[in-house]
Amino acid sequence: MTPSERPPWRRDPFIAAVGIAAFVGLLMTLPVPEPADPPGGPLPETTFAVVDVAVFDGEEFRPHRDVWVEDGRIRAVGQRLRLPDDLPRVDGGGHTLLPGLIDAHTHTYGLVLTDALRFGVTTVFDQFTSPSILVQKRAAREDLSRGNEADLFSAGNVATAPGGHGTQFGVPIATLTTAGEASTFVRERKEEGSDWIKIIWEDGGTFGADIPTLDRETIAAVIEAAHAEELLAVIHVSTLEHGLAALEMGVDGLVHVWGDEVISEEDASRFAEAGVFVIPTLSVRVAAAGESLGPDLLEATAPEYVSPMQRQTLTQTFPRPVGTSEASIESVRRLHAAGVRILAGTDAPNPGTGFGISMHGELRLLERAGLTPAEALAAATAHPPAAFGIEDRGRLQRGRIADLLLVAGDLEGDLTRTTAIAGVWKDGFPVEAAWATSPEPR
Amino acid sequence: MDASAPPVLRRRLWWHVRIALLETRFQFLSSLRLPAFAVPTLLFPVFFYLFFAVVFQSGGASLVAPTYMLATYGVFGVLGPSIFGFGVGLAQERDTGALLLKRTTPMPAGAFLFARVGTAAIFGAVVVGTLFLLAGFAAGVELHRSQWFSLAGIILAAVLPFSAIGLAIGAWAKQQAAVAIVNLAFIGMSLISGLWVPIYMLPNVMQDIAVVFPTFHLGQLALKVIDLDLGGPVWLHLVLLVGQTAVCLAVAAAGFRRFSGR
Repeated sequence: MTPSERPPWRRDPFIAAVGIAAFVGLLMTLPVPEPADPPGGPLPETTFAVVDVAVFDGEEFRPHRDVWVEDGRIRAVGQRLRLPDDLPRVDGGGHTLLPGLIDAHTHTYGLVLTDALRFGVTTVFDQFTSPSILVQKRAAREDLSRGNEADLFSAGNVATAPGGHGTQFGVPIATLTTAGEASTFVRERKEEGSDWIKIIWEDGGTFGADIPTLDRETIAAVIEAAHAEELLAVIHVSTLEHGLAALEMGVDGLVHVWGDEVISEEDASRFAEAGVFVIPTLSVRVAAAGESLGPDLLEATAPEYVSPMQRQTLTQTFPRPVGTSEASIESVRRLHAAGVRILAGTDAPNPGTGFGISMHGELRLLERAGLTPAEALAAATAHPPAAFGIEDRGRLQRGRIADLLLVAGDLEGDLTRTTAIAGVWKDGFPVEAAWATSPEPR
Repeated sequence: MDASAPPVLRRRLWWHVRIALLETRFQFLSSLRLPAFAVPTLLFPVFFYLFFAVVFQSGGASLVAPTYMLATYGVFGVLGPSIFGFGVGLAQERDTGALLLKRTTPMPAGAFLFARVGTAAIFGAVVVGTLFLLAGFAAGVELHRSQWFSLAGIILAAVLPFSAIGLAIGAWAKQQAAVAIVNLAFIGMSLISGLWVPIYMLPNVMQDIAVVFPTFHLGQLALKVIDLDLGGPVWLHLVLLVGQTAVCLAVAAAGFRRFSGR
């Protein structure tokens, strides 16, 4: 039988065409992913997934991940997660998802915790506030219900001398004078709800003032008393000399880097060996030196997202320049190179800084000090809770609170993209982006 | 050009197509009737996938493994028919004299090659279709439509470089030796290139060796569609693949010249 004698449906070209059509038909019936909404519209709450997103998990960047949130906590992070069909999804393509930022040095009053949250700062480590605020905000840390404020952890009342730094705000605070008062003072702070002890060592020398401060013996006694109560002791210093002396006294962390001189590599190694962490607060250091990032941050942000208070503090200036930004940034570079754990903190709302918004500037300053984008972000996410012994946040990891920041773009390539905020979730609830209710989607 | 040329050319082109399709039909039927060829090439990848990707992974939290294995077992699935068809089949036809007989017929050499590649592609398409059905409806793999098509396209395109390997073996080896060599190449290349066990789980030395084999590059290109590759650039995989295929074809050509001169 020759081909021409076969009926048409048995001829080779016909069979080939049918075969190809069947194969294409098969490909057309195969399952495709459930549709995911791009982040522009209303964001889902408490139980949802962000799919196919680049994540920064607290340590490093990982492409093409799915992050599954359930009842306000992270249920799973991974590639190609087996997600329930009815789970609301946000399409994370072209975006980066990271843990909510943690500002390790702030001062809390008014609406600042709301301001922080709108800029993706979901937790603040306050380094001096009224004990009444501390008590009032404590419950929200554990509570996963809808809220509009960042969580607060705080030193509460600082350890300072009568008339010393910290007493100038018109609010009466507890002070101490001698080493003998240290253990009582620390115990009272613990009972008041302080999460750690912050000590002020500030004689005003760097800004041309002469103010009372604790003596070395008392500072050492407070550190010892804090450790006896199983609390961390952190310290405010303004000079390298005081920083090195505090290191000798066994302090756990510095809440500023100094601005007077650049640390030597040998001394930087001593900080690393002692395991002391440093919160450089470069935002306030450069502002004190007269080089605030405030104007840049305001220019990069649409006006409706900046509250009047944020605008006010960002545009304020120090009465006269204190220290140099070079001494601060170069010191951070050496501390980081020596292996010292650096934590991101802004000292907001001091002049030249704004609550929340300045964390985005702090990340850029840390990058200027030699941290990679991943290291700078780790300093603002995983490292602060680790340094302060807090375990429920700071990483994209199963079981952690779903405090999330979604930004448009690739942070690994361009850290300034952190301000391109596409979504913020606190305890799994999406946060309103504009400070006043605004109809404009971001 | 002569006015009568176009119809003649058209007729001659049609004649070539018909011959090629006819030869493919017979090649496919004869391969299908050869259980030693048909059974392992069809069943190996499908059973591997069924056990390792469907049964072992059922209920897992992530679909990475079944998705990953879909790409690698897919490439493995076309490797079999391609190198067995050419490697063993060609050596066999040459040693039995069938090849010499075919050369005395008016059938163009192109039709002969087309039929072999086409047969491998048909077997490959059956394997890929079965794997995709298992992946989509049993393992729970979900891909975007464009990913399903790209993956199928890349896997089926692998028939060409793999056939070149088979051609090189078949052109040189005697029938008995060809079976051993093809098996060695089949298993060795699959293993080293990460088609059975993910390449990142293999020792680094093996990963370095894998770069030599087209199987590695096809595996990586297929995995790139689903974002699970090692991250090498596409152009580099393509350049190396073209180079490796050219080497195989040159080796095969040399083998045929020797055969013809004998």
